[in-house]
Amino acid sequence: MKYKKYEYDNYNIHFLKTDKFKSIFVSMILINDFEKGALTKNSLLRRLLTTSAENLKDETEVLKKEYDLYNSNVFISNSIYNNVIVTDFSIEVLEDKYTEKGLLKKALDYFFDKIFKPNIKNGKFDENNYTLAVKSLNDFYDREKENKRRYAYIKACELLDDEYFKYNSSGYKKDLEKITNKKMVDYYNNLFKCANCNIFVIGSFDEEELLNIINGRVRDKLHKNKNNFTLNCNENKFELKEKIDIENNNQSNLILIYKILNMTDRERNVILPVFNRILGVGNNSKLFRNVRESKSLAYDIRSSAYRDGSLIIIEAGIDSKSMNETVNSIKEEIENLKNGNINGEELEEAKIFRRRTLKQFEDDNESILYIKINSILFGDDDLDERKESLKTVKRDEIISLAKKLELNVVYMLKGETENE
Amino acid sequence: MNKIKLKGLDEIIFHEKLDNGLNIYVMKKDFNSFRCYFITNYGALIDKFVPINEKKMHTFPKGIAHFLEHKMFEQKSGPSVLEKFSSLGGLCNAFTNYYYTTYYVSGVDNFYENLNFLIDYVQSPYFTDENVEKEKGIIDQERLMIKDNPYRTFYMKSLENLFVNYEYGKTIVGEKEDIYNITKEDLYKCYNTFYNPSNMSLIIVSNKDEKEVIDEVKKNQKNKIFEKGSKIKIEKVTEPNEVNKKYDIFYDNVTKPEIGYSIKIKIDKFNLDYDKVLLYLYILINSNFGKISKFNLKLKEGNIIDGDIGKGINKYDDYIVISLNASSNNEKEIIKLFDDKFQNLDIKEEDFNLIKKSMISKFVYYFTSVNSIINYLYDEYYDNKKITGDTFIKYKELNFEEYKKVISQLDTNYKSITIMKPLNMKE
Repeated sequence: MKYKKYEYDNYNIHFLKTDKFKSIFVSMILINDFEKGALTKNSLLRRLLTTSAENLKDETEVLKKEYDLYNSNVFISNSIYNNVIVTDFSIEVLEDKYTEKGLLKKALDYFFDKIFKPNIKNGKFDENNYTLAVKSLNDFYDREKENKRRYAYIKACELLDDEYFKYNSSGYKKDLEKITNKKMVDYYNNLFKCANCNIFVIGSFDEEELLNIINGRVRDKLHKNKNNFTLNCNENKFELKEKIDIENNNQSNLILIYKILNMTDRERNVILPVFNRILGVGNNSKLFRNVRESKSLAYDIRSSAYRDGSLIIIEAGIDSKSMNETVNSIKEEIENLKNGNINGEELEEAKIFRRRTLKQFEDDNESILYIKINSILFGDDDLDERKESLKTVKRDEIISLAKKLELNVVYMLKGETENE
Repeated sequence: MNKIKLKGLDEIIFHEKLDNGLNIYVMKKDFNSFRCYFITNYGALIDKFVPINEKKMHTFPKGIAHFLEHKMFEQKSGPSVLEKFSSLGGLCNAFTNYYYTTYYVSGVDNFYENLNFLIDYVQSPYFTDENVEKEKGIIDQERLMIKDNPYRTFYMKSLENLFVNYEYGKTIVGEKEDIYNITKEDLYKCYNTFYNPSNMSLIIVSNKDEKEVIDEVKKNQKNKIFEKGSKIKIEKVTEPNEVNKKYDIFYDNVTKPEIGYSIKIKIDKFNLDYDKVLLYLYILINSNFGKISKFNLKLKEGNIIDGDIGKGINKYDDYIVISLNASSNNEKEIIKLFDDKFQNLDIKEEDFNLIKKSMISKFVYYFTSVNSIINYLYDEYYDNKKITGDTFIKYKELNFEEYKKVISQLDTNYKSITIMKPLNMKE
């Protein structure tokens, strides 16, 4: 795969050329400094931009256009990367040879129209679309409680202090009430003014033609801004927070959040994924084997690692009566790791697991692209670096990382109708 | 060994039926990853049958196929199934649906070792009173987790209200009493009846030569002894055209009422391949009730519904079910609007062609990853217990004239309404 970067004053274009796939995937990444109020605005803006455009007055016209472009759908997503907010506009287009000549050009025109030609007239988003977007977001907030697992996760993260991670990336109903149509237009205009921008493309395409298309559409729209992303190293002191909320459901959702103190770059990029696999990823992890299989305490248990926020989050579906036993059992697994209870076989299996994941990424255009994005914009290792450094992971390094874990949050969303 | 051409796609799948009756489907694709499905034609709806070497029809507790799936991961000796796959770099799991139980492994290394172990562990059951007892708590937690999803409950209730005799409305894991009644002996009876190779299939996508893969499976099966497979007698359930309940309200942990509107249609009403009927109805429902329709947009603009209309077209044995659902506080209005719309359907050639174009382009995406390829092959298998390779061509053959004919035969007489309301609306 050939990688080439084109640097411009106010943006960069990155090409990853490969003929392994049947489509071309384009992603435009905006990086803006974190601001809590932006979370809700982003959620609203996503709805406004995806459901209409200057020449497509409503969502039926948008969908018809996308069907006509062989399902070239425009997606917009937002995520918090520690101290920045990432907005990702993306589109996947089938190669001309499977569809019709000139599809890429037509699809990219549509893509950039969606981003840069919104349905704004007289300084306002089209009133009808605006009302529908606000209604849709309000409805989303009203239903947030219905997904207990996600709701428990949001409530547990709220207990973290001083961190960007404590915020709900989808925003808040209360903030939505304060937003007006006019404010959204200002927000939309400022989003591009203040953003650091990179455009990534993966697939088989004519480089010159694509450069012309992209430059022609973005040159005057983007501005020169720095990417201010930094990593959270958890240098501040904190106290253990414990909370139980009660909900009307059968099962209880238990969440433990561990902070990882002062990780080195190698720990963050190389050791953490292997450590997390050993702890709680997949059905041969320590948590799965010991907490679920041996002790039958949970139907479901897993851990997730967040390199930018320096966190490990453990989630389990349990019977609330087993809360103390499950919490103790999870703590015991972490203590065991700190005390070196990990054998060579477990480490090898975790490395094999990780190697499989990395090789599977090579089979998927989006995975390759997003690994590249993470490496260029957020300092993670590239795919080849990841594969090489994996071989060098040692048992002592896993133990040393385990010793940096400190429990910060114990949260349970307790099912009050438990066991019917 | 025969080659099945996936017509219109330039793709080939190799098929062979072994002497012991095991069907193998193999496709070669140049990805790092491989994925293998080992399927038994036995799922949650099959609970009344004549066990192997017996003569009488026997009724087993609901949820037993799923329980069996869990217990297949036990081994008599050596490392556990999970440990063994982990050491081979394989990622394994299993799932049970109405008619099948599927065990799978995926990975990038040690393909043959992973494939052989997948077959070996599924073909060596080890159930004890102790390990069966231990599993009951875990499965009960899974049952509770499912019950915590009100929309899943809503879906099951809708099916329960549609069918008089079919048991699609029952949960795949069974109820608490079913789970706690299952014994080691029950599990062995079900296993011995349905896990015979003659009732099973392998679907494999890898970067290995197809013939080599089939030879490897033959080698694996060569020295294993199985009882001769015979046709399994399963109680045949007949279903009337009428629905079980025309109108039903229940309460669950949701914030807004959800209205389900389902129509039950006997497949033989249409003189056409049911695959094509499903496709035509998919186009009809999407063009009239989907995001592409002005109808959906008008209901949102008029504050009659929150979000979009949900849609589904599914086959349940001899019936096709059209399902619509919407979140709304105006249940009477929405039901009337749906009724009226079915009396005045839009049949536009432009919409037909756009939706068909979108459906066809999805096929190209199927062949961009091992997972989506195997999902596609599994979908083909699901309806026929075999892979025919003619799905894509059926998509291409769809035409507006036939579409209009199918729509003219649409019978919307058998309808069931299911309403899920928030708990705080309970009187």
